Amino acid sequence: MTKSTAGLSSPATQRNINQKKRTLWWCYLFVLPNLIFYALFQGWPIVINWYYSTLDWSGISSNKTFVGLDNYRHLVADPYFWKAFGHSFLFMVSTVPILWLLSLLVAVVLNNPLLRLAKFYRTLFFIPVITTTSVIGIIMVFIWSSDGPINFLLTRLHLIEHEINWLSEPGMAMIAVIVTYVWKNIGMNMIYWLAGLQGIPRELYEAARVDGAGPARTFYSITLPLILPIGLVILLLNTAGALKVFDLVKTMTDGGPFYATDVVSTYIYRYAFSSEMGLPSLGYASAAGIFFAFSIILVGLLQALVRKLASGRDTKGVA
Amino acid sequence: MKRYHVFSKVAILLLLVVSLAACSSKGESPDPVASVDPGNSSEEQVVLKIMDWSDSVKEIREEFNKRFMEKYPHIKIEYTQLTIDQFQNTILTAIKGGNAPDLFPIPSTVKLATAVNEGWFQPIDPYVEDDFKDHFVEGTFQNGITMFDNQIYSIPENPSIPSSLIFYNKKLLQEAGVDVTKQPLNYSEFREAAAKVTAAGKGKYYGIVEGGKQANRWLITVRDWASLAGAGLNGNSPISLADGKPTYNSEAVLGVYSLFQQLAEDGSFHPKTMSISAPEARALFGQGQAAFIVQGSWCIGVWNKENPELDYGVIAPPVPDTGIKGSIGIGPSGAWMGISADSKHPQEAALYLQELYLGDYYQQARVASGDSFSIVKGINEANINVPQLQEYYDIIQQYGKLIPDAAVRNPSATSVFEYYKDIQPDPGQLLAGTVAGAIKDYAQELDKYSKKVDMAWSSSIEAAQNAGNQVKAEDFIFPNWKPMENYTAENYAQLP
Amino acid sequence: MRTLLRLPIHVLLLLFGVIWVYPFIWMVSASLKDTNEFFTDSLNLLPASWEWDNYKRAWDVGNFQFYFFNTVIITITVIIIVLFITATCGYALGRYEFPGKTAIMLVLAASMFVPLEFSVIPVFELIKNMGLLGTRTSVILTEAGGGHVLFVLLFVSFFRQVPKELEEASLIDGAGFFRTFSSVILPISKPVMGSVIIMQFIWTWNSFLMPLVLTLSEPRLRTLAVGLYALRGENIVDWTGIAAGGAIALAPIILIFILLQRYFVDGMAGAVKG
Repeated sequence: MTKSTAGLSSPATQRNINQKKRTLWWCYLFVLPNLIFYALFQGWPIVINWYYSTLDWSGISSNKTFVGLDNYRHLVADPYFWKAFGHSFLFMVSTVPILWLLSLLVAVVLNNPLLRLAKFYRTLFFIPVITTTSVIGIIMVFIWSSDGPINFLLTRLHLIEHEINWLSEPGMAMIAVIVTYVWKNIGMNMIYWLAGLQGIPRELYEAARVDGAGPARTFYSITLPLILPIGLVILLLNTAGALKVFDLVKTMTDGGPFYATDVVSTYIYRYAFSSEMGLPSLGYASAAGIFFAFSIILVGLLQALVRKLASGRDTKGVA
Repeated sequence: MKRYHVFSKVAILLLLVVSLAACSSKGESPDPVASVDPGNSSEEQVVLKIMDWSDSVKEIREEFNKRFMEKYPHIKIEYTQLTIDQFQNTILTAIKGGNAPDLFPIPSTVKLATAVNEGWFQPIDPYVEDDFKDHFVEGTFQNGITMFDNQIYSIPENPSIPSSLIFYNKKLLQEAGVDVTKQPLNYSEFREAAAKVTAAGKGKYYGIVEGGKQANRWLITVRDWASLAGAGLNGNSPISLADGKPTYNSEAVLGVYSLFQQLAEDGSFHPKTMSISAPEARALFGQGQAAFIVQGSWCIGVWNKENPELDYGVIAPPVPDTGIKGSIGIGPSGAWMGISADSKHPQEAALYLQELYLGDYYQQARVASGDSFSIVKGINEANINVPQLQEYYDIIQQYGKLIPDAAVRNPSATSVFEYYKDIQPDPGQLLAGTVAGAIKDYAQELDKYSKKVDMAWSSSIEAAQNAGNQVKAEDFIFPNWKPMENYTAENYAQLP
Repeated sequence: MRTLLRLPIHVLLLLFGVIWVYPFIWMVSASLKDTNEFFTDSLNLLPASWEWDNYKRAWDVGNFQFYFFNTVIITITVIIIVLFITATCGYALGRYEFPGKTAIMLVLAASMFVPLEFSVIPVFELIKNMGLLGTRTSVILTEAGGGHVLFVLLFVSFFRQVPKELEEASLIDGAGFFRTFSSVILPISKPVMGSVIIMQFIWTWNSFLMPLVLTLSEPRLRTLAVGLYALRGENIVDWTGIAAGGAIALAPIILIFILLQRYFVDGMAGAVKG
């Protein structure tokens, strides 16, 4: 804590106070550019969406009527919203742990300094990350199709008897999207983990080896505790990413078949931009976005609160 | 070898640009390419920006643009094509930004009255000859549809032609021993035919393929097929012509759902149906993977070009086993391209339209390619040389009937649509759900939908009235409409 | 024993590696087929006809020679801006205490969870009011916009563990705050910068919706991702062209990744050590 206080040397002379003040100014100046970009392109849209969410407005015409909380009232009464809401969380709950564990496994294997070609494998796993999602969406429609390679492989291995129409069957489409999402994002997570793993001093492993600990034991008692902090960050990033998933669902299934893969962001998109006979409902879509964001933040806060309470009791117990 | 060529090109280019950009573009100097200032240029070079979604005639259109620029060297055309979806998402922001292209079509979800009231377009009349209108087929220019206060704001792209006929693969039907020459098939016959083909295909081909991801395609199918059964549904308003109410749970509509549910249960749909959109479905049909597809006339041009060996024909949609009780509704030719109100070059834009419609290339080439029909007099007769297009045309003449439009009766009636928000899931999405097997009790869902539309509709009429528009619910009800007859100007005149 | 163990690991890795790149190989193979083969024989990875024309078409129709240049300019400028604003922000947040610091961190972190599909309209209006519509600058600004939580966090945790003697020495030499930052701190943060460059590169290179909306009236300013979309029409989809275009667009990123991969992992590692 002390290392990062503003002044660097201690006697409280006038010069020092001045310098402290100047440093403070510099700090604000340094934070400012990022904050400006944030405010303009992320903060402002969020704020203005608050306002939109209280309007009966299509986003197209100049007719805007203030309707208060009406949009929210309709939103919570729409079963399809709750369906999408549920799917978003289902998507998060099923992708995040798989991604987390699988990418850790890959990273641990690839972190072995004696492993040849590690860089080559790393590149292989990273390729899906760098491919444009819209192209992936188009490709995946073929990969998962009834006569596509996945069905071919599964029937050849006798894992399934008949071909499955992954993207056509309401019960299967979500699985296909989840698998594709995991496939696409493992590379990035692997890099995060590798970074964490490289931070662990080699001497620790040496010591463990000298003590006669096996690989499992070493992993459990040395590696895991040391990379857990970054594991939390990875968890957070993945949670946020999974809850916001859009491109992949949009291009792969567009929320279908019949809303079986509809998540909140595709729900929002549908109401905000597309319509058949009437006009789109931007106000309503904004309400959905705000509502969703707030439920996530609420969940996060509750979780933090519970943790704080728990850890507070712990430290008290120790003291 | 050649692939390496491309890649090395890419790599070299990248390096070049990286070094270039590193020394020059650090500051964000205003872009020299970005600012087009037509007023200042010495040659009076005019740049016309045009944007639409007519991709099935892209090549003909580009050829047309080329010829146009050769003919008028002082005009440079910048033509952009998007999908309808992309276009809708972007054009509105562009208009609001005062950044609209010189020529652009009205988004299909927006009524002309809205667009004119919002000041998107300017009248075309001042820039064209007085006899301009006379070159087009009757009914092209109607107040409330393409005109407003007797001025032309927009020209239709095509005559209004339903896009819900059935294309069939002759070879597959023959192999399965199915005969469809006797038209129209009834629901049972159609179902049986699809099942037979599927059985004969043994997994190589199927009865029917659709772009199941696209709810709008399903919606068109519901409307048109149910209307053949007498439902009176159409795209002009959510109100059924049959009973003057938003009735989506009538016998006629339920019959279509039941048919599709049975088709799905029979396994007659191509297994990919629900995971693809219309272009993929069209390609699969072109490959001979399905015997039937419900589509529009634009497919003809595509197949003739992409699948020259495909032997196919067109038939009318099936009708209930109890017989035909209505017709496919044909609305007035919808508004399409107009001149942006912000355009600095309306004269040149009008010239472009003049050449596009009345010139000696575009309309002719388009009809000849089998893509679609023309709204310009004499073009269809002289240029249709594709048999399927002729068949399509004949079927529409027989099964399609002109339907009334509230906008013609009362141009301010469309103000209701400025307040009407779509109800989701709509019948198209519900049909998709039925085919996917996610909806079993479609009757109940349609019942709910009808009720919701009813409420939304009356409150939008009320909202439009409160905003000072002269509109009433009766504007959308046409008691003298008959399901098997054209609705003509006389019928409008008879209305109270 | 060890080498014995390593063989199965390689086999397993290779197997998974192949699964992982399979769709990519599939794309490249599709990019060399003709449309008919694309549909009838989509499983076969060896094209029967080798249609190099797809690449030519994608290049021409996608206007790649212009779009490529635009994309590179935009991507590079965005990266420079983002590097600058996140490094300065991360430095201040990571090394100094000042009132409001926690609030700033919280605000940045919270925004991670807001779905922003519908922010297109507000951002567009903002750009319009700034008078920047139809310029490359508008694309650059929006692409550089946002909180960059992850990057800021990377810099914060990296700078937190830089020994403070470095700065003290510099300050004693009479260098100011900025000089210290630019000539002492920044040069040692190369690894983090590597990570930021790669990630921002991927995002900007592939970004689609905002560039599309902002360049609507100036097609010449489009980026590759937008240009690629032109191959997917309303009624006609040029699948093999899309595959070819996708392969072209992907090549530079793979190149960048291979070149910077060391920095990437090290950068992350350096950042998370603290």
